[in-house]
Amino acid sequence: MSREWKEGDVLPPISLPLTLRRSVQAVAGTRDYYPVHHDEKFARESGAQGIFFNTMFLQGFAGRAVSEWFGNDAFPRKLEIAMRGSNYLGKTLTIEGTVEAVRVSGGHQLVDADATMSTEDGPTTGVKITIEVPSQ
Amino acid sequence: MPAITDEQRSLIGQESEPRQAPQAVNPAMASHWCEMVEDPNPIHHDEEYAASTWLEGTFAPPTMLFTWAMRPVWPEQPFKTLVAKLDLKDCPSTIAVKAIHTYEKPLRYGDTLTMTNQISEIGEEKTTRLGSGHFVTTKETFRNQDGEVVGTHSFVLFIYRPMGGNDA
Repeated sequence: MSREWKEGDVLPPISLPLTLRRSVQAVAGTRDYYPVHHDEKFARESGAQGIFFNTMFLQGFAGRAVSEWFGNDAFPRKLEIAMRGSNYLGKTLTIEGTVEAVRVSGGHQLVDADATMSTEDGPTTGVKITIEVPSQ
Repeated sequence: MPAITDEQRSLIGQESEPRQAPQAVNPAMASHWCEMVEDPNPIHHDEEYAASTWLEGTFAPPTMLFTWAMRPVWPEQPFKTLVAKLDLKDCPSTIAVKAIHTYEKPLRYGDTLTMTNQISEIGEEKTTRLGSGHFVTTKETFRNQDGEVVGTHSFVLFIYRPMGGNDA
């Protein structure tokens, strides 16, 4: 699955429906029991439009996208998540992006990619990732 | 104006005492994580495949980093956050603006992690559409049982006085 990456390469969309079951999995999976992520009433009273997904979940989704885009033996070196809007229960979350730069280091490619996560509400999350990809 | 005091500035770069992660890095929590985001990557559980790659064996999803530091909800462990220690006067609200991970080494199953944290940056006062306050960066450094840094987690926070009062 190794290939030569170059600036401008498109990282196609990957989507996940943000179902109630997934919010339960996210609470348990990330060990984050802050009530805005599981208690609708608490979330609304704190000013949100409802239950929303936490940052660790978004990091996990970005990690999955790294494997899907760059291969199972790609290893992320840096991941920056910029929170711009909330990812609400009931929406569908989509990540897509482009390759911004490629360097070669120790025979491996270091790929800088920019991606955006969006829901039906529009873009919610900026993502910058550096990935180490082995060469063939 | 919530100016930064010398005392607050002196906290920058001060590393906390190490804290032990509640669980060793383990495949059960990793598989729950993979289910959560539907990540089928065999490198996290298929020893034969993982051993054939340059990464030389299975490891937990790197993006789980901060999860290993999460405190149990029971029994409760009281603690004081870095931001509470910083005690920025007149800035009652905090939002996370960015979360930045760096990954130095794969987290192998069985690794026992310790974390230290620090305030790595305090910005001058800024006014955004939310209000006036400071951008503060906190950094948590994760080390394995051999003392090697395996990754870091930074939060860029905006700690502020909401526009139009303290109770917005």
